[in-house]
Amino acid sequence: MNKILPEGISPARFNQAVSKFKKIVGNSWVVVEEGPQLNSYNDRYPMREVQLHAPSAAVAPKNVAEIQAILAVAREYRIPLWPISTGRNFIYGGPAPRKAGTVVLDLKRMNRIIEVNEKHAYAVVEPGVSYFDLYRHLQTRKSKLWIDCAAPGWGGVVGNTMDRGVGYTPYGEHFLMQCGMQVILADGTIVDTGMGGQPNSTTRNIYQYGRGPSVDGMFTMSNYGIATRLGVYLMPEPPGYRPYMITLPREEDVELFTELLRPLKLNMLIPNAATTVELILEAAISVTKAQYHRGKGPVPDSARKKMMSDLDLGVWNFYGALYGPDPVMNNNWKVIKETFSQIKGVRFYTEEERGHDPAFNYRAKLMKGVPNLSEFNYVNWVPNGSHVALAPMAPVNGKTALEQYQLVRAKANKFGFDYLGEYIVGWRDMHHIFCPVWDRGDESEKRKVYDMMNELIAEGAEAGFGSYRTHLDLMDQVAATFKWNDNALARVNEKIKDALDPLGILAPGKSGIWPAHMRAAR
Amino acid sequence: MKPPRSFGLLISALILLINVGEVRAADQADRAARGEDLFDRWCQPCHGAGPQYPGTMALKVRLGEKRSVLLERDDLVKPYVEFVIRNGFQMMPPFRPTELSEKNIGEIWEYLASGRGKGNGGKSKDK
Repeated sequence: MNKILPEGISPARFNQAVSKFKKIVGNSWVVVEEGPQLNSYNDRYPMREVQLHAPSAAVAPKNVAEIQAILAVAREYRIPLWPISTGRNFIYGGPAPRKAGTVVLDLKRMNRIIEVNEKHAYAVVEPGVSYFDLYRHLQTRKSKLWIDCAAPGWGGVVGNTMDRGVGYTPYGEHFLMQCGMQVILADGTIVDTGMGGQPNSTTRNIYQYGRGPSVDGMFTMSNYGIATRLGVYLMPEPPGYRPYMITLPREEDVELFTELLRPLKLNMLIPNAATTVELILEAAISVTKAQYHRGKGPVPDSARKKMMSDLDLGVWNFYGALYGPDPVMNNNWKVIKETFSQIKGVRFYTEEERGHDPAFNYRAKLMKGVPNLSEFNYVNWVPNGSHVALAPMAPVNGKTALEQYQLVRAKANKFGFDYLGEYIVGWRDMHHIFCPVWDRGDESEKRKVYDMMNELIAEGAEAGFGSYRTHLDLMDQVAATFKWNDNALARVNEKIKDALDPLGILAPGKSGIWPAHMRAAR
Repeated sequence: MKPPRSFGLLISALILLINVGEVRAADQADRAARGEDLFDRWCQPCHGAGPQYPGTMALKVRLGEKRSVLLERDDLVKPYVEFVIRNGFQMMPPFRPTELSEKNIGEIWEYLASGRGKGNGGKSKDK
């Protein structure tokens, strides 16, 4: 098989660029030979041919100066680069680039925790710092600050924030909690956003908005620059913490529950990014499909009922937490229990009652910013499991919660899959995470998942459910649904792309944004 | 009687060999210690002992409870361990060279082979 190269680049030209990359970072930090090292940059859970996202090489700089030198070579030879921080959120494609042949710019070696400010409660980190790293660092120095982590604890603080991911503490909306971004543009210019635009600023990581246009958001989920440093707010450890779980026995209960939940969220009685988890995703933390259903297709209702009874679960399982001094927590718990007690059959669990359950256990960790990987137990739902996510947004609205669930579950079942999903409930919104699991060795299941996701994107958009984030294979399709007013938003995105990266060397295709010379082919 | 010169050389050679052996053993112990740290960082979050570890759950399903915790296993072999870390296996994703070098992977193997993780299976190492 011929080596995959960046589109339009001859082998000779590619080799010249690679030689220059080697001179910049050293031979051992350029991976170019076909083999396991290069394959480790592939998409682990592809829905289509893995070659569609196979890089031609990976180059791993240690600092900003090396990135600038790499960019100079990329501009000279027109080599596209796909920046990654830790590259370990595999559900969206992991470290793999959108377009085959793109060179991965692996920033894992840039792993300095530059500052922890205990007084003003923030940290400044480089892209290679994982949640595990930052957590461990704070623990070692006996910090009284919490991190907020996404479910993959080996994921990166910078990468997750730049992809507008979420965690589960009151600081769960990561983009809201970033402050002070450093990016390198395609031309090599280093930009500090916000107050960082002022030399010697004392508020670079304190006040987010700076003056003039706030450009931070423009660099997230985009391909306009490479984030090389980020300030993130850290939550002061509260005087008390009590995680809890609420189970609801019937599918339709999600409607009333969500209605009752909204004021508690808006008024911050439930301050954290809470989760309303459906039965199968919740059960899959502890059991496998084969324990309940040996046949093909989704688990039948009789088996779902048995699962609920065996594991003491509801069709819906809500996780939240109380934070603060005891009187505050006691009061809030009373309000929460009174509010939801009007749902017939509702049950409430505290950590004392349920802490032994692996699902409760890991949720309790996440809601206080203790990173782990336990959520991925669910990938064992079927042997040799694979997973992917689609994340439509919803308001915190009962009718929508039920309708969106029914739409997605019906689609999953139609294609022969179980619905695995949850609502992550923010302040006013819910991220609906749908994450089907299939046998990664089964080509026909792969194709079905891909077809299913495409149908969901199209039908979801018709129903007003836009997705905020998705896998490499689905980025164009999701982008195409943001088409209001003759694709006005896409056209703005392209104008910015052309202005900031006229040669189109940064992450072609990220979030459906392509450089000018690749647009005609789309 | 004065010992023959060759006898002295033999003793020196033996001492040297013992020293080399000691140095090698010490090297191995160092590598295993580094491997322990790497294991704790990269492997334990999936392969610790208990119901909350995805890798342990996967191995339990595939091989049974007894062979589900890596640190308790006696049947692992070096090429297999090294292969799986770099290539991944089934649901387990691979590790990139920026995360674990070939040397690091060897150190993780030394740790597994040393048996020093046995007994607690990483239970108390929730990082």
